[in-house]
Amino acid sequence: MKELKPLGITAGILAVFAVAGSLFTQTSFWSFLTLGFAIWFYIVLPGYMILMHTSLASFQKIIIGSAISTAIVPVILYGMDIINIPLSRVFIAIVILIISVISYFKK
Amino acid sequence: MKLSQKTIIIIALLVFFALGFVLRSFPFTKGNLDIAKPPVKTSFDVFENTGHTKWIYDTEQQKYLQPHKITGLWVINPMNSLFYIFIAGFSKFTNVSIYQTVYFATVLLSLLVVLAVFALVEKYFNERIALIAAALAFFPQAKWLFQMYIGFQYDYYAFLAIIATLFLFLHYIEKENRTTKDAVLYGLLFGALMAMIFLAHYIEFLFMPFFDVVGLWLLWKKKLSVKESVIIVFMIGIIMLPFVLYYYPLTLQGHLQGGLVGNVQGALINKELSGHPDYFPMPRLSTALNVLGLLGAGIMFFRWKKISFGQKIVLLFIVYAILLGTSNYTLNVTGNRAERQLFSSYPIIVLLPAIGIYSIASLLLKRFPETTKTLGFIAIAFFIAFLAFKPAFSELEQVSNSGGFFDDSKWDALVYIRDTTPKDSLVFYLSGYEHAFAQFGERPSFGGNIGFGNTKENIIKLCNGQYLENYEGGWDIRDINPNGYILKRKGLNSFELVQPFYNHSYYTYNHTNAPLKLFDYVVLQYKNTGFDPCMAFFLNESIARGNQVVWNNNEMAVVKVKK
Repeated sequence: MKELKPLGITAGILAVFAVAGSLFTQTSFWSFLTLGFAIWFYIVLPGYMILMHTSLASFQKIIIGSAISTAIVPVILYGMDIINIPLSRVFIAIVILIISVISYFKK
Repeated sequence: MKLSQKTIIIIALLVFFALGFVLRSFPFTKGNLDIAKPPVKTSFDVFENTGHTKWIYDTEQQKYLQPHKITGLWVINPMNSLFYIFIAGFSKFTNVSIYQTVYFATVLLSLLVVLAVFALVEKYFNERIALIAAALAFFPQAKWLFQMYIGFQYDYYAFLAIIATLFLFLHYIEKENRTTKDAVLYGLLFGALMAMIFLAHYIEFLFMPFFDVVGLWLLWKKKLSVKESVIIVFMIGIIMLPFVLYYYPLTLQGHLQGGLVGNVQGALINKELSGHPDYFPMPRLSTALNVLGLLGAGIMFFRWKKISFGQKIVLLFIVYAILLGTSNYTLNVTGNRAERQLFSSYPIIVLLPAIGIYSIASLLLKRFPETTKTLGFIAIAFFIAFLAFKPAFSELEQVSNSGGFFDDSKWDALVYIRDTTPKDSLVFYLSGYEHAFAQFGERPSFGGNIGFGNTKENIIKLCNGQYLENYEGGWDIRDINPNGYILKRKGLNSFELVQPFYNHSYYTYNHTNAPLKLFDYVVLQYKNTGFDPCMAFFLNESIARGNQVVWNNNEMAVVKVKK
């Protein structure tokens, strides 16, 4: 579980950004919060979990993992679309959770 | 609580990240992401990207193109859509409008490129150089961000894959006791990154020869075994093959913007096409950065034998990026405008001036303790941000405020068309400048461009008191292969093609004029045009002929055509 701490810290940082953003701009807190969640869940989480299999430092796993997520998740979605699975919120969430859970327990 | 030097640097990086977001976003969004309309109004390509992403978001598929872009036909999408899929998927987890998330995600990707370069430089140089390079990259001159508002937004997406590849490539090579499992994992990661480029924006493949040459050199020097090389190439192949088999015949069949075929079948080297487009800013560093960059490059050159393998590869990558990004000037490489790679590479190119700044600052701070030195470098990074932020922000604000293609009145007319009219309505945009963003009405549309003259011709005739039955213009339609669009895929490389309006008895898409009776609705601006009486004439005559004004605001009107 200690390995998941950077994910918690990242979520905290995004939450701080959401609060600060809603205080200093016209955008609502809820909008910033959902944007922060989308970044964490869709961009940070899957790549980080995959890179847990490498010897990278935590912040490298977060940053390079984000690049990995932006590749792997959409590529899988592209494949899903070929076989007529809708690119809906539920199916995308399932893909991300499968990637993350398998990566975590395969370690 | 005592913070480590690294933690202090990471905190500074996060502050830069937030300010970098403000710099890129606020000139266009004014800090309000809750408005459901595109914040960037400056370019046709931005509208195309936004429209296509919204289509995928709404329909939850990418196989078919927007019918309204193909005169109402459902045809197969031969575009490399991964960038749009990425944003559509991202947007599913927010409550912010898809019109906003397209630009938000672009901003995010451009910041992620800077962070990825920071991770790379921190690993192979040191965190102080990395922070200075990040400050230069987070706060560039406005012209280095022009891809964001001119519509080359997918460049950031594909280039992020290149930096990640470079990072993981070096990390893998430097790893001790590599196992078969490592080769499989990294092969999968490289495969996913290459598939991302292939399905998003093929032109970044021009960076691949760099990795190929370094890989072959490592193989020759026995720093990479034949077995692991075979495993990696095999894994890349496993990932890539299904997508190549599915997508490559598609894109060869239907050339669209961003498709492969333009470069596969066309000339990669073309003197006429390789010149500097007039709407591109010149990709030149400021004098100060040039001088500091030369200093940094000189220091690295004279220390070449002493620097690490990772540092050498990063520096050689910069040389390659500069050569590639200037190859349109030197070797007439078109490569979908090769100099775009220079704009994309800016966050890593500024490593050279960052080394120059670091060297000078190191001399000045030599006598101070380490903590003071770190604070000194952070102060320098903040000074860079302080100098660069305001001018870049003002310039981007100027771009945003220079008008663009639409205002609130025009947008409201499109919203009426989008939300109120039947999906298969044909719409005529009589005021030509609507054409560029007409697609947000999401209906097959015919229009002109006042700059091209056809709209002017219509308006001059109206001004002369001539009510027209036929109007000049063109269809807002996706690029078309001469053989037509793909109606059906019958096999891996077998397609049934159609022409737009193939099912129409008296009309083809390549007509440059159309009868009014063809349309269901006409959208026009009748106030603040400079020729208001001519538009009033059209409205009055239309009403007299039984057509009906179904919507208007203080500037725009929508006329329903009597059938």
